[in-house]
Amino acid sequence: MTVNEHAENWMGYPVKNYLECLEAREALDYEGTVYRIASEYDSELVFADIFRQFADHPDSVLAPGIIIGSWMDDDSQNSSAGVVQLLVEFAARFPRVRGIFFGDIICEENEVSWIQNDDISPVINAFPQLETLRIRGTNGLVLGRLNHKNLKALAIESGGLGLETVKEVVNSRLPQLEDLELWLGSENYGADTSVKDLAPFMDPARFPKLRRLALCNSEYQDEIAAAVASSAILPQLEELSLSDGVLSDTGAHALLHAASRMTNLKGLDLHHHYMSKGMMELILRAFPFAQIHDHEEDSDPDDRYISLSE
Amino acid sequence: MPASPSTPIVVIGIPGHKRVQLFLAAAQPLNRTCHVVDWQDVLATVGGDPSPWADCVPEGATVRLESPGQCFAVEKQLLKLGGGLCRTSPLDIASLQFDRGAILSMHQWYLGWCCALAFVEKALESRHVQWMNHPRDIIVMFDKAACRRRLLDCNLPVPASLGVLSSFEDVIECMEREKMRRIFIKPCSGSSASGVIALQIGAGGRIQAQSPMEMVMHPDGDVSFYNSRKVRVFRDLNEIRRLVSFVCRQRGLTERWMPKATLDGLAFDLRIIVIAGKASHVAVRMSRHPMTNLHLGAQRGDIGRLRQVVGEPAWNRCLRVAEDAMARAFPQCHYAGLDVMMTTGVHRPYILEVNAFGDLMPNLPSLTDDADTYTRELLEWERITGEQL
Repeated sequence: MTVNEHAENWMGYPVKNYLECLEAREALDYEGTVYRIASEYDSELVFADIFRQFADHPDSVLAPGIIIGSWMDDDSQNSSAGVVQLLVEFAARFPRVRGIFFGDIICEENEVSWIQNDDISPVINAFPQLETLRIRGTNGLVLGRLNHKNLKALAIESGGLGLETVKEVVNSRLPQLEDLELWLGSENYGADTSVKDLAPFMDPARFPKLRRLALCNSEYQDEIAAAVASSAILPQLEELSLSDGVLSDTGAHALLHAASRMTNLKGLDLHHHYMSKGMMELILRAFPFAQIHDHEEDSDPDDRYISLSE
Repeated sequence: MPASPSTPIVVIGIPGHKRVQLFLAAAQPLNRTCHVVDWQDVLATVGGDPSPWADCVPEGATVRLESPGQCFAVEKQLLKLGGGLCRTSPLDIASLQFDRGAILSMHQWYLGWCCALAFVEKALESRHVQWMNHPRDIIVMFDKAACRRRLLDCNLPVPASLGVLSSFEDVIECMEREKMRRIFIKPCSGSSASGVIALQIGAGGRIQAQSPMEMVMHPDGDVSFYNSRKVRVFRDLNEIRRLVSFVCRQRGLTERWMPKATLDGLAFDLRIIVIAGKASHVAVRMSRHPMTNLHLGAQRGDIGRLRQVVGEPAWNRCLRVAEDAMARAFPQCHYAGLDVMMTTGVHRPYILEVNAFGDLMPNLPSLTDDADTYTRELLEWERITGEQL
């Protein structure tokens, strides 16, 4: 599977394509909308033109968030370097921006493992008030020395998350981080981590405020489930997501065993899984709020696959 | 002399094929009699005396040319006709055995098809027949490069192209040079996604192709290509080279892979049937693959839902583009099925294909009433020819 739809709502705001609004001469609502800035192939306006129009508007000071969509213009291998420059150049125009979605690009536009990202640390530094950052595509991605006082939610979507990126997050200083989401992906697309590399995310001393942990889309989802289940961070979690990976009864069993330690848990997302019917019942009994849709029936364990890779 | 409504409609097609059967079924309640001429009988006379079948065509009759597809005997006849026109090693037809799904020489077939249509036109010239769709336009629709050029000349939106390329090396070189790294390659005279490849290249020599073609290697090193119902992903350079080379030998038209808008998580395009200048029927085709053909696992989407999601202006733009294409590029055609996509971001319409026989859409209600495509074609034809009387 792949990412097939653009965000329609983000941070509680409806999302609209900025260029489409311009072309339709639709009244703009900077305060109540999150706009996706994206270019199209063979279009008169390239990404930089569209972004500048968006930023130059007097109401840009009201924007609560920015979604960066397809930045590729006519070349699907164009990197995000130009976007980084623009966001830094115009950062002062967006004093109220609390969230940036960097790369709302769907597979029809470019598959996640083909997206060319870049060093986006200048963006992170240019928006000190940022609370939410979502990134799609980790080819070429550099986060730098992640040191941010206000960031509460960080999500990195990848078809194959490399150890270098994981290390950048591990070594970060994000004292306010409440929500961490990492899509680990497939070995075939550059995933070279193992469960021990993820251990720091389960350490409350490193992430004291963490309430939601999503370590998903993994080929070793069972090992992650076992590690989280025995981790010190478990009692403080309100939401846990181990979705989209190759989760079987083995991982689910570990979760069941740790149920009594999950005193604050209100959400458990396990969708796209390989649990047996019996295990699904046990999980629902222990966690009535669990999401277990997309049961991937499959008799051959070697044929199991994660949700997002290509 | 225009025909009166009582004159039979002559259908040149494959007797018994569902296209013909459904058309006859639509004509019956309208009291239009139809006379079916078998493509095999027509093809048997090419280059000679057409009277064995042409004598059944009354002066001023309406002639409907139907698809010659899905009949191996006709396919062989067309390939044989085309063989005489092929510059390079024509396929040996005499020894040809039926091999389900095998993709034979599409270009040779196309040459035979052109020859057949030209012959039919000439044979019926003196009878002043009225073509539902003019044979010369059908020829253009069956050549994707010519069709694209005609649409472009009429200022209609089509995806950018690197042209018709002759080899794998040319394809890669052009993609690199023009930085157009996601393309479709389509055999100029293919249909139903036969031979279509979605090709993408990236950094460090990365390459990937998706295609419903299946390759079968023979012990002697030869490779056969088959149509399949499954879109496969190819990552091996040698396999991709074989696939692309095969399509290039069939005249492969390159086209930018425009990102299609999505509906409920699936990319879609629209099959819009335009009849007498009006978009009358629309099928929403939703797919997980770059190809949206229904036989490749695409599903039909709900029009109401689509209009709600993309908005009425985007929907209307698509219908208008299809209608404009017929009015400006194919004014001599009563009907056609156009594949129109809209882009992911701003829902801009692009015409992907014009299908001469794209009106086979059983049980698809029209946008305004319950009439199926064939009934609507007949009713509109009667109205138009009636006005001429």
